[in-house]
Amino acid sequence: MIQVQHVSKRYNKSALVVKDVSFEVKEGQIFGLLGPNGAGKTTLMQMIATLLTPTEGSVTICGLESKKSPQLIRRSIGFLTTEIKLDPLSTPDQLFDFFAELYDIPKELIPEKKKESFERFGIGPFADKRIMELSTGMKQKISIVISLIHDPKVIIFDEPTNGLDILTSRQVMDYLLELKALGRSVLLSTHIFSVAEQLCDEIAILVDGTIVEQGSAPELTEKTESKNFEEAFFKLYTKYHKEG
Amino acid sequence: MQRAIRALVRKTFGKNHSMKTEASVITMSVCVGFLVVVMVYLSSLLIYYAGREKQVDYAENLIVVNPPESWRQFTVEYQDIFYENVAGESSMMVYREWDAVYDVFTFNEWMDDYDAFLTIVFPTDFDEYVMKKNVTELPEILTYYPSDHPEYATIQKNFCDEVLAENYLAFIQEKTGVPIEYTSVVESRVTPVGKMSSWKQVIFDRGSRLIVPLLFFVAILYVCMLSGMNAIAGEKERGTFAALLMTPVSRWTIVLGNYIGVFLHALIPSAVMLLPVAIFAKFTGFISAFFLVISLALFISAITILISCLNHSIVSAQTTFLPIFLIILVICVTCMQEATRNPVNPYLPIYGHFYGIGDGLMNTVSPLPVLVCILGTLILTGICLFVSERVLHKESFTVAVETKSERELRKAARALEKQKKDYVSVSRAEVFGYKAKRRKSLPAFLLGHAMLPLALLSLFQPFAMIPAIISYMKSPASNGFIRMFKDISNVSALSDVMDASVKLFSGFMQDKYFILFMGLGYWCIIGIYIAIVKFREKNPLRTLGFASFATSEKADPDNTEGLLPAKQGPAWKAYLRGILLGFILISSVYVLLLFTGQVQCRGFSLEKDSVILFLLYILMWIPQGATEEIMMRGYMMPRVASRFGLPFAIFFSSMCFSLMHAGNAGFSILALINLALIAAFFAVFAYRSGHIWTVCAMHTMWNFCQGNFFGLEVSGNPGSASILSSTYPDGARDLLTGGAFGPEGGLCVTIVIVLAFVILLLSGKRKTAKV
Repeated sequence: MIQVQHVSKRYNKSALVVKDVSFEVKEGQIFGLLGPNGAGKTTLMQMIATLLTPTEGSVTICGLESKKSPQLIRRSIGFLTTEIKLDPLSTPDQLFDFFAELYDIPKELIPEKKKESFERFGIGPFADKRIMELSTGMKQKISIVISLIHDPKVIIFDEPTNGLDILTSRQVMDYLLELKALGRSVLLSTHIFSVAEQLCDEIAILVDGTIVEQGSAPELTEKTESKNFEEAFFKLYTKYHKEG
Repeated sequence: MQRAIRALVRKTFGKNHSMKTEASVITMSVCVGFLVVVMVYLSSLLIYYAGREKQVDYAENLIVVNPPESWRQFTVEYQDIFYENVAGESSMMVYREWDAVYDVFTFNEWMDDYDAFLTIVFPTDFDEYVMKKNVTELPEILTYYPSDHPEYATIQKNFCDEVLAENYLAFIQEKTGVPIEYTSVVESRVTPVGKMSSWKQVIFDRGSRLIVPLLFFVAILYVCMLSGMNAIAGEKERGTFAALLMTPVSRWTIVLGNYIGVFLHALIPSAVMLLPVAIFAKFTGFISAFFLVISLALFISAITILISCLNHSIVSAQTTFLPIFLIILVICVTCMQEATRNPVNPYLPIYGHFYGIGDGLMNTVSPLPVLVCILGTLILTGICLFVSERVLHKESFTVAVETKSERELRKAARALEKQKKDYVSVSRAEVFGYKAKRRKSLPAFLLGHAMLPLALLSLFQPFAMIPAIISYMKSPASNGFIRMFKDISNVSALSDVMDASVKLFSGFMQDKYFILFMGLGYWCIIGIYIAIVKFREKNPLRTLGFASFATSEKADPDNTEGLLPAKQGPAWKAYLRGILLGFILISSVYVLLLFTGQVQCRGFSLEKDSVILFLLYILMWIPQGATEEIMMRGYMMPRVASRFGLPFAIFFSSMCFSLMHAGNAGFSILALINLALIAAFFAVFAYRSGHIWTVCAMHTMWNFCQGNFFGLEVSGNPGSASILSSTYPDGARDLLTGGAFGPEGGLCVTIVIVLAFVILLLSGKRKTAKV
């Protein structure tokens, strides 16, 4: 579903933030990008989500090249990132309506869809409160609902459990597994090992903008001869990260 | 796409769009202030018109000032020609005498009083001059006319061409028998003398040509700014814009949706104001005004959208828009002046809108300029929207890039390192307890310090000169001065004008009002300095050299350079001490001049008439001395010292002080050195005493005694209303006396100040030894 080929990114005149990254996410797969802060995860995700254009290389989603038809790609992806915020003065209800119109969802389907997804995440009682009055967890849930409003085939979540308590994290992770069962492809970035270990079918370790190792969690543990996945990550990190 | 646009338009009407920022509040206050000024201006006009009893369409009469005998004969003999070309049957010719031929103020009043459309001014000795047999050039005859009707200008031209240049000239030639060339008749316009048909009409005319277009502009600009900046820049600031970009809508949709929303916002006030226009204007006028307002709203909305796309926050967007806002307002102001209305302007956007709306209301609209203007505006609007769409394809304007390049980081680190060592962190020298709080670039710092005194003086001194200039214009002495400007193109004439200006200024020194207003101006400058220190720097007044004595005692132990601690006492004692010291200093100079035979004392000279002037002088010298001390020693010295150290501060402030007097009469190199020496003396004195109370008094006393006690020149300005009268005998040498600049330009002052300096430095050392 997602093919990333030799993608690099450079902002203005700075050094390369993402260097020659290639991987593929298959249908019904949860693919994890694991790396420390500043490894280039968000930049990579934004390039896949068509917000940024790669300096080199290409991204193909559902057979469409991102540079050529970004608008069509946006119809089939759901993108969630901490950078994208919700209008603090609007209510979840208003936001849902607004984005439903932008995604051109038939009018008659909107109320039903809204009810369904609000119930799924327990947003219902807060539907008429303003975003600024809601908790971080609730905001994140609303963001998820809105980013998936058009039922996309490809889901790109940048640090979806960041800043959430265990209960809410659990809810989000369960939901991702549900989506996987429905045959959706999920690209996930995180710096939390447990999330990566439990959810992902395949994990790419990103250090300083390059993928240094790729495979499932047990594979990676085995390859690096570590006791557990966490140790595997540290070994890889110390091996590839250059100081300064 | 339509659905998405509708959703976006609705969004611009959401709650976020009532968000106000600091910039918008400032803009709002600017708008309100601007409108108030315009209203005040207009109401002053209305009061002027409403107060006039006469409501005659056109003025009828003619004023002739200093009519020579030949003119009287001419008007009797050539009545037909005269009335045909200039006046009507019922016209009356008023004869007046007045020496000051350039006195527009008086002629203006007369034309108002006598209801005249033209004033002809002859030089007082016209006939005697012309009757000299060998004269070949006619002396200047001046004509003045009111500028409220263009017809008056035509009449004036007719008069000059037909009556003066042809017939009157022939008449004189016939009498004298010498061919005379007609060369110079000066056309002078007098403003503002107005004679409108009725003041109700004035209200309507001014209202619809000035106020209504302006209201449209201000309302549209303000509303567009608020909603336009909130639309895209606001979304970027709140972080909600990326979500919009992630939806499958095109960039065009985003631009158009927001644009239409902003435009609809702008339409609300426009519609409200178009309603009354619809009542007053005729149909065609209303239609043109309507389309002009719509196109203006379209254009301004497009500009705001473009700026919104280019910026990442509301405040930065509003700040970007502010210059455009002000430029448009300035265009409005230029449109408000009849004189700037040229054939091209009505075709241009903004200009055309302003004129067109006013014309629409007054039903004097011409369709072609309106159409061209609207077309031009639409093209510009299209360009703005096109660029906006292109901009939204650029990453740097859509996704906030937070990654900084390493070079930038290194640069920031270096700047921080530099800051640790610079003058705000480590003060080079502390004078009056001043410590710098803010950083400024070097040129801004030095220029600011050098220019601030000049700027303030040149702001307040012209104000003080206004009454003096008016009374000068009313005196015949002004004739010669103004004539000099006629051939100012050659260098010698220019230097003549300069000399005369300097003399003129010296003359003002005897004008009571000038002295009074000067004094008031100096108080204002003192107030401004206090405000700068208190409210801008947020420092105590002690840092301006106004130590209250409790603090100056405290400050003294810090006096690490080992200079003498100030003699303690309340401020008034310090001030009295200054008066005494100042008197001693200047008296020494006078005595020196007296003993070397450079000056002669003629005894007491203060007359009864000049007692008031004398008192006003005292009232003026007090703030005058204080102002110069505050500028140079109180404000400049501590601030420059904290950055560059004390020696440079003394040098810099002294040179500034000295050069400030460079334009005065008789300024010379010696005067420059002397003034710098005096300044340096005051600076060291102030630094040692820890305050400027004493030097303020010294400065005041020095100037007062020079000008109003001994009767000498003060830095090139002649003394007047003086207690003693002094003259320079024939053998006096400028090198010692300073000539026209006064003692400050001569060696005697050099000697006294150098001596005083030595005493000051020695006394300092002795006291330190004791400490």
